[in-house]
Amino acid sequence: MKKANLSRQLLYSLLVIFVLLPHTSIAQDSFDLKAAFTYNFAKFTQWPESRLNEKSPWKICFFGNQYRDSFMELSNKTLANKPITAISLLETSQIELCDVVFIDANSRDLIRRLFLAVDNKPILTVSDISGFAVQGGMIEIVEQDKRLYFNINSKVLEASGLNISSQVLKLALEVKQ
Amino acid sequence: MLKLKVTFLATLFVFIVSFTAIATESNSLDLSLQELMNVEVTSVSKQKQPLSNSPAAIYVVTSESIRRSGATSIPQALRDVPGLHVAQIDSQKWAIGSRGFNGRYNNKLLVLMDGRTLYSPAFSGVYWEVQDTLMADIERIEVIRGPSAAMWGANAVNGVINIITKHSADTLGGYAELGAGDYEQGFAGFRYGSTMSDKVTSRVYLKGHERDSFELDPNDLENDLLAPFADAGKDNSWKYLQLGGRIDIQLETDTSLTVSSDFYTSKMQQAPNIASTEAPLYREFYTDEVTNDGFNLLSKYTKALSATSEYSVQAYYDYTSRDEDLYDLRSDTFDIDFQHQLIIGQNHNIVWGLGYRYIQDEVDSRLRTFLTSSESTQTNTDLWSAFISDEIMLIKDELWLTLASRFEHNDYTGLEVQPNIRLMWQLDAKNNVWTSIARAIRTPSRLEDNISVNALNIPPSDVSPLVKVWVSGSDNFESEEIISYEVGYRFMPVSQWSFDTSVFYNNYDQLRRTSIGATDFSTYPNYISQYTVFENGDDGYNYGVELSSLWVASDTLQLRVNYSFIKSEFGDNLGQNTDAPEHMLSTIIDWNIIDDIDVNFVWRFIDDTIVISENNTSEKTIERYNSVDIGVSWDITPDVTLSAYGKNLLHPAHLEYEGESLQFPYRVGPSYYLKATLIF
Repeated sequence: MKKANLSRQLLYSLLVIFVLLPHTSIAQDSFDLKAAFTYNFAKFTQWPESRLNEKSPWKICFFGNQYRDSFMELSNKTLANKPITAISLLETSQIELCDVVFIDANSRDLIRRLFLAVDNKPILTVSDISGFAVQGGMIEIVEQDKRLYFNINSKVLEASGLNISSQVLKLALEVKQ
Repeated sequence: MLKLKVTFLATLFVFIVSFTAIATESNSLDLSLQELMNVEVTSVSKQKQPLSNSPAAIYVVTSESIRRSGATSIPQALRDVPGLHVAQIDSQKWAIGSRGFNGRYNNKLLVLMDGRTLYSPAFSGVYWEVQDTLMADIERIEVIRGPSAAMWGANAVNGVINIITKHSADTLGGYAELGAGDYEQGFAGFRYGSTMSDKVTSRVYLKGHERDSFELDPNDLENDLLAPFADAGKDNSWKYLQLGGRIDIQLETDTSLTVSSDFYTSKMQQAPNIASTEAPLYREFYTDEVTNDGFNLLSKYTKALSATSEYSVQAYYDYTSRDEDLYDLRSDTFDIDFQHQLIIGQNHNIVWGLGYRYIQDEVDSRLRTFLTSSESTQTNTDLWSAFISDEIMLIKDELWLTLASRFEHNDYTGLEVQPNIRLMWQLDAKNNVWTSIARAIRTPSRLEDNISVNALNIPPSDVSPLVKVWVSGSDNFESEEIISYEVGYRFMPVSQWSFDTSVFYNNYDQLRRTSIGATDFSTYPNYISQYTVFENGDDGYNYGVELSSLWVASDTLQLRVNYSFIKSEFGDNLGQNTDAPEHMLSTIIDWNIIDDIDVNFVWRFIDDTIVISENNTSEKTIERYNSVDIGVSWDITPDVTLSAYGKNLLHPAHLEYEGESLQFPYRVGPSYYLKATLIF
């Protein structure tokens, strides 16, 4: 009788644990992860001298309400000794003012305008839109088996005057030359 | 003592582990790329509801929520959207309405799939049973309640349902599903997507199903139907097959082309009844096999002109054919639309467009005694339209005003103007308020213009011979009108919790009803014909509140509550169904129990529904009901999933809807099915 009670207790406790816990304690929200990837890509990018000499903060722009909390965290960080300002975009009209643009899969319809806006300008473009890297974007984040990887289009990067560290290139799934 | 200790230890464990979980979360920005690539992505985060920024009552059904609910059809996926009344009439037939006016032939809701209008021009409603695609290929379903005619056109009176399928770059590789159960006797789906070059992706799909009949209960029938009920056929099973595909081509970095096509064929059993001249019932019951075929081809070309300007040209052809004993419908629709979006300066976001639609429809009946038309069986109609919308930012990132209007010319009522004014105030990142005033119209369909239907016969008496009562369309029938006032509020106190509500007041005018028309004595003394004619004689109003709330309780558990309240004042109106259930409530729980096992639990309550009963002359109350859906799915490997679903559980079989259809009322009961999916 007492034994049955005990096992029930255990069962309840386990249930509570399952509810409160992610299956593995290192599992994380993909929104936070994509923001962290974007920050890392910016860190390992060689920016043009002219931009580094400018005093204005780095502008990291993102699309999509869902990413607001994740990207706003970036405002506490710095990049090459300058502060970061995270900017939420709804439309493509202000893209030219950004240093980095993250565009999520829900905004696929905006990529034609995005490509025109950043054309050959030193603006780093990052996205989780499938096909982004081969179609004219710079870095595409892909999800495979619950983990995030990325593809790089180095041709577009070079044309825009940006360079990305070879360490990053080595980690990429695919690099389009 | 031991018990206490175990509980204590368990609690402590929970605290420690949740603490570590929180600790890692705040540190993701400090991780290196290598470390980031080792972190597993949680499954719940994928479903974060994108809280809309649009000044309208929008609810988005995501592909993730469709997958979790195990919905096997579009109507099922729409079931728990706040403000929508989704009811199944029999195995194949659905009634779906937004903010009232529901019914089998609901004509105040506009439904689109990838920009293609899905309604039948004969009655301007949707045959839901033949609007399908592979559920796994749906990207999202946007449901806009309230009028959106300024943007989408006539018939977007009480709402718009916009079904958007995935880009073919998002459906690469193979997908197969196979399932069976009691109501879902068997279904299968297959898709293969491939990259044809860097700039071209495509997919093809095939799906089919066989569904069982719903049960018929004599308690649901009116007394005069009990006798024929015994001999009538009750089969309402169906078979369905659909195939299609899509190609997306990026012609230049700024130009893209999408081409898609679908073909379907289906056979459905039904047991209708029509007025007859035979005593004692003067109503004939029979069984019938409905054959439905359709084909469509759509292409859309989009080109960006600059960072702030883009245009698209979309053209489609749609063919549909429906054969049943009551009537045959055939329609060919050709539609071409041009749309241009441009941002002028910092403050004007303008969208304008032009459209032309040509519809050739054919309505015929093998039973001449049931349906006749004053026009030839085949008619052609043209629809011209133009619209413009300007979203003006009055205060930077804070206050927006949208002025929009659509101008349409149709063959029945000529020029129609449908204006809309909207205002949105973004108080801060957490609070958003919007309001709207709109006028929209529902244009007449062929049925209301030139078709006569022998709805019922009045038995002969001592003083009168048999009277055939015809419901007839009229040239004079005008558009029905709505003026709608809405206010909405969205609140997101923390990222784990969001709240969206809207309040509306709709004023309807020129609503359809029938009035006594001519009496034809030429066939006296065999019978006489009494005509009742459609006219725009009724008005009324409804008002209500809708709310939806999402709480992401933990990485593995989320809770959603959707509720709507509506109150209608239309008097004793028998021209059409007007009232919606006063209260509708759905609670949806998604729980990732352990690593690879997900549970989806839905409890819903639908209040009493007042509908026109099957004899078309009185009202009937469909009793309120509760039902529970439970789904469990298990990812055996990342590519193989087994799942089990139970629908409408824990409560007995019940009616969800009836009326308007000259059919028996059928009960929706508990059902289950098992499904296996494979990704390759």
